[in-house]
Amino acid sequence: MQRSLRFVFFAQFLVVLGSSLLRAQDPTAGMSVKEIYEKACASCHGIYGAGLATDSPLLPTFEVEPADLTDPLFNSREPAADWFMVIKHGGRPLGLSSQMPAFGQVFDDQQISDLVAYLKSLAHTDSYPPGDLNFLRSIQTIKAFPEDEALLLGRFESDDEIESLSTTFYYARRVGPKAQVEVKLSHLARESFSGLHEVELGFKYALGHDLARQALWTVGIEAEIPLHEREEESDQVVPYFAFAKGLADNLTFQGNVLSHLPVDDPGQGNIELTGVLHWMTSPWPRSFSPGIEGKVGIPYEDSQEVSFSLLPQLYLGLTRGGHVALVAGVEIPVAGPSYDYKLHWFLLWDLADGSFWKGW
Amino acid sequence: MGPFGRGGDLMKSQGLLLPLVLMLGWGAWAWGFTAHAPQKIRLSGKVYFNGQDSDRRIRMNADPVCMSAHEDPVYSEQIVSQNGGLGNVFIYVKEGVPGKGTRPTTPVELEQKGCVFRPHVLGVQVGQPLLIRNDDPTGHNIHALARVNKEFNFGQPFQGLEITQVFKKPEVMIRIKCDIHPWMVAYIGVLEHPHFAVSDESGNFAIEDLPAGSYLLEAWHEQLGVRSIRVEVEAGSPTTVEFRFD
Repeated sequence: MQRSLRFVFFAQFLVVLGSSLLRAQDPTAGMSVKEIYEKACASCHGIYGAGLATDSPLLPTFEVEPADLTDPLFNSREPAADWFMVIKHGGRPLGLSSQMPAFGQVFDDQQISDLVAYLKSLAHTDSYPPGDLNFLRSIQTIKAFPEDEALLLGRFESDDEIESLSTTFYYARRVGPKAQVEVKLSHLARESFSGLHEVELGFKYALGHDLARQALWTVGIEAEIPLHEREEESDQVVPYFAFAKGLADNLTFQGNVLSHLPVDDPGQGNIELTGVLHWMTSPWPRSFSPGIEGKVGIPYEDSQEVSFSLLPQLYLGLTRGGHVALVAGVEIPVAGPSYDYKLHWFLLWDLADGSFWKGW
Repeated sequence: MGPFGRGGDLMKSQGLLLPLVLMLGWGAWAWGFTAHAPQKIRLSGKVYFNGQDSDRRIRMNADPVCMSAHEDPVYSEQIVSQNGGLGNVFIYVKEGVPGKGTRPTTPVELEQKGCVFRPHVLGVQVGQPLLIRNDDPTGHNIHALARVNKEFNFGQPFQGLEITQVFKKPEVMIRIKCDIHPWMVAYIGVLEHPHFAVSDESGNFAIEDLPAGSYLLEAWHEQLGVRSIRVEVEAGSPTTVEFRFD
């Protein structure tokens, strides 16, 4: 009996000794994520995440002022996955300031995930759609997430007799936590005409989201105003419902239901259903993501054909931070009015992430 | 009796023939090698300076931990001068070294202690580990502003953390800084060969094991610039050189 007790006590001693040695090797052992933040991040981001005080002696030494993590717009629009990458790999590989260090050799992936969750809690973001639901923009499907973006879009159409080139400038600006206003100006060039073709004004509002289910739903309305042949072309109102759904870590779906309603004769309009599936091949923003988009147009007028087209496309992040991207695709008619093909492309600049020339 | 007589028979019988042949062969090879091996010379010298020690005091008030680490004022190491010499000068053979030399596996250490990098100027060979350690009870980051090698920036938020880096290309010099404590600066020279040194506070330095030959030596200082000298190193003749910074 005495021998077995001695063995038990010795075994317990070994367990305690071993765990003590392990804790001694891990400097974060026993630390809360808040304490980790205070040790690793607060020197530059402030004890509460609001950045450096205006009289801090460190402030003049920074190329870029450390981000205010308590700003709800900034905090909410950034996907948690992006913050994970910045903490693990540092700022420079992600197109951000090189003064942001990498901590991937200090913290494991779970610790970094916990730290990101803590950073997300530093701002009151309940009213804002989370950036984790900000999926890639596609060629035709209206993006569900409100944005600050500028795009230059092009479309080349070819059928038996007509070729045309359309160039559009698009500008979107967020208003408040959930809304976005936008403007588009299009130029059309074809054999019989070359000039400004159409201006479009739009408004979008994020109705709600469910982060756990990776879902976002949005409503909006656009007004399309033709600038030439106004006696033949009617102004149109385009109400829509847009939604986004994350299917897996690297697979997303976005879809719209919208209606083109000519002001002169709404019965000549249609309902359009579009959807796009994107596959993100890499967690790094400067990567390519293939997508497949489909569009169904159902005219209100029974005599007109239902149209269906497919649009395979490629999304290419050009900068290290992914804030400038190029998308190109080919629209192929499957049913309805025929044409040879339509080539689509656009160059995108996410205005919220800084200068166009940053991070190349 | 064998062809080598009784002696040969004796050696064969005692199993001594093979070891003797091997010894004689090795001796011949060693004699030939040492007779023709390049002799290694010690090149020493002094960097002269007619200015004064830096009197720029470093203010560590951005971090109370750093302030508490020093009882006496801390001064910038940009100009370190005693006895008419200049310290923290990186002296290296810029031209004339045949080959690249072997890559050492022993790490060179860069320490962060009292919120100061130690040493302030150091050299490392291409492929040689650089071990960087945080010896302070406060966080630091190691931001290497390399232009030829890959720039890196690693956080070391806790005391005792170590990180090892390797530079893949020669580069003179790489500035290392801590973005949390902006006064913390060090400089690293990365070379293909081991023929470099850093002068002490009195400007003295020595480069060991330099083969005889003709070389271009360069002395680099972070503020005062660069000086170059051509030197002939002869076998069996230790060589001294001087650099002057005004």
